[in-house]
Amino acid sequence: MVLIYFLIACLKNPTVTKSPNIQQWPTWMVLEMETDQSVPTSVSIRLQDVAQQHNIQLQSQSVPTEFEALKITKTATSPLLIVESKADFYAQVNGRFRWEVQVNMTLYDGKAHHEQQFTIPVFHQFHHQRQEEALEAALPAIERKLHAMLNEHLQAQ
Amino acid sequence: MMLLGLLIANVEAAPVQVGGYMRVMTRPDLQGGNGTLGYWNLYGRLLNERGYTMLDARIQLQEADTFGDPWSSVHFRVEGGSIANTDSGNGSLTNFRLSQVYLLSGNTTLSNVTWQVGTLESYFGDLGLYDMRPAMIFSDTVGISGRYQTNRSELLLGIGDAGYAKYGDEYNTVWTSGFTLRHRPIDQIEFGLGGQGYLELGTQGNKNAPYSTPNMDYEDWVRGEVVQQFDAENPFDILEFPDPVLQNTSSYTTIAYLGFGGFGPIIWNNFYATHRMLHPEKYTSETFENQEFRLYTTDLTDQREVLLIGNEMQLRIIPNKWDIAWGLLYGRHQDGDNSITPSDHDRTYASTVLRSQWYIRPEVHVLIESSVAQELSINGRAYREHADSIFYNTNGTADSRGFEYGDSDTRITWQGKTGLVLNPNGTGIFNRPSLRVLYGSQYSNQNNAFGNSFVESLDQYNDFGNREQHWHHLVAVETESWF
Repeated sequence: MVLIYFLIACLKNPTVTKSPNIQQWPTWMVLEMETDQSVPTSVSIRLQDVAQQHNIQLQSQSVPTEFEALKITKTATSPLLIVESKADFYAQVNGRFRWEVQVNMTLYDGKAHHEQQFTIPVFHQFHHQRQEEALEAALPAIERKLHAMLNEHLQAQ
Repeated sequence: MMLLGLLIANVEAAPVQVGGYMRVMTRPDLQGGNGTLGYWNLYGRLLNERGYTMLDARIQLQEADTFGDPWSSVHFRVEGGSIANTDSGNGSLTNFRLSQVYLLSGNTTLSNVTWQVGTLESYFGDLGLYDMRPAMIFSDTVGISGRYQTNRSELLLGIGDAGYAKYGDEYNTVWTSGFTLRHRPIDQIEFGLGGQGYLELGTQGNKNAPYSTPNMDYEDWVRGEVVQQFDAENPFDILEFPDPVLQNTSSYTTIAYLGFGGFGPIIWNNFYATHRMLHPEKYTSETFENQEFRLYTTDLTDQREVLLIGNEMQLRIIPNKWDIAWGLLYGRHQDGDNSITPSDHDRTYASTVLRSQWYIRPEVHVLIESSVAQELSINGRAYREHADSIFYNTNGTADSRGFEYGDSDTRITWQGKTGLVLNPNGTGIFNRPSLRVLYGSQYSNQNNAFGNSFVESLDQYNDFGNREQHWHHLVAVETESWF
């Protein structure tokens, strides 16, 4: 029990900077497949929760089958968030199915674009787990990145 | 060549990614063992495996811009089971090998088809509790395969050569081909089957081809007395020792898989079955009157079969609070040529492992695991229950001509493990990375049933004495991760 309490005490929650006012941002969360589609709701809800902690409400927009971020950002005048993701199979590695999730997060703060690109390896146990499950498995890392991006944005204001 | 030509014409910048796997641990053993709780993974992989590392590099030669575009990549995999300061190998590179090199090319000539050239290893999945992959093919093959894949089905066909994997520098071509077929009719069920066949043709004059030395008696061969017996039956005719006879040999593997889950508390259940007819062995050597004789053993090793059945069920008892994984394993090894001596080719074993993991927080878990296993030697006693086993033998007398090793044909093993797990990525029994602090306990009817350096001799000049213990306790700090 001592060890349990020690471990729990050592765990840090992510720092959260809050917006003084509630903000509402249109958001596109895209999963690239044969035709582009929205990320699973299990993913979008978790990302909305992350933003909510910063006093930002993400309003999910419908995703066209040929999504192009540029079309949205070049005409934007108010803050928005675009999360583009893609998952591809890498190899069978020591009993697991290794996938790589590539994420491109674009935050437009009304004046400038801030972009973060990162790749998260995920390891499926089962062959039938594909792109959507890969995105779900990558969620903890995506959440941390979104926290960091929103913190940076709010601290700069 | 056509494939390579297509690739070279489209080579782009080559981004490199590296993935892999590692597990490293320390398990100081206060009972004279070498740091594993028991002998092998039959009792669950936890505390029974040593360190392992693997690096798998992917170089993308051609990246698909959109779905359906041609793409290609090359993989290099290096792996091995030794890490400095953790095992007797001390991280020496001699313990590592370049285990896989292959080129993958998708949608190049046919859409939804991925060609693989090089090493071809493929498996349906694994039993995580045992770290075993019973339904595997092409683990010994270099060649070419084509994988046709849709959302619900997959067909893999391959052909190649397994000669180097089987014989190394005594190479002889072993033609092999195989297939797997997997289908998922509904989300909750998936099944698969497959097989691989081997054919080794004898070429007269090739000393590495399969041969059999005629008229060898199995018992003489096991005792290492074939030449001595020939000499006894043919005095002064040792030069007439029979020449080997050329043969063709074959073997096969069949695999089956059934998966279901996604309903009730069942996250997923994997069932695997494998039946293998092992490839015959080439030769052994005997020395008689300072002359070495090669005994060609195709005939004496061509009836070895392995049946392996494994099942693993993962259950979510209370979501985000409590998960369970339950494994079952059964193996039967039979050697139709051997009815006289205990051997790894004549045994059965069965085991069950139950792991329970509670999530105090998403990152902090409590683990409890228990396993029970029975191993039975088909050809008599193979296990020593006591340090002074000889006195428990039949009539308490030594049989210097006997084949049996111990005083029991059965080994029964119980293991229990518990500890804390720190998982930065959250809940899930198989979620990684993991940092584990574990205590494990084992009881076996076999004496000192774990890797050790105890002296077993009962010789009066044994300076070290003997030790009898059936319980084994171990603590461990270990970490494991895929990356």
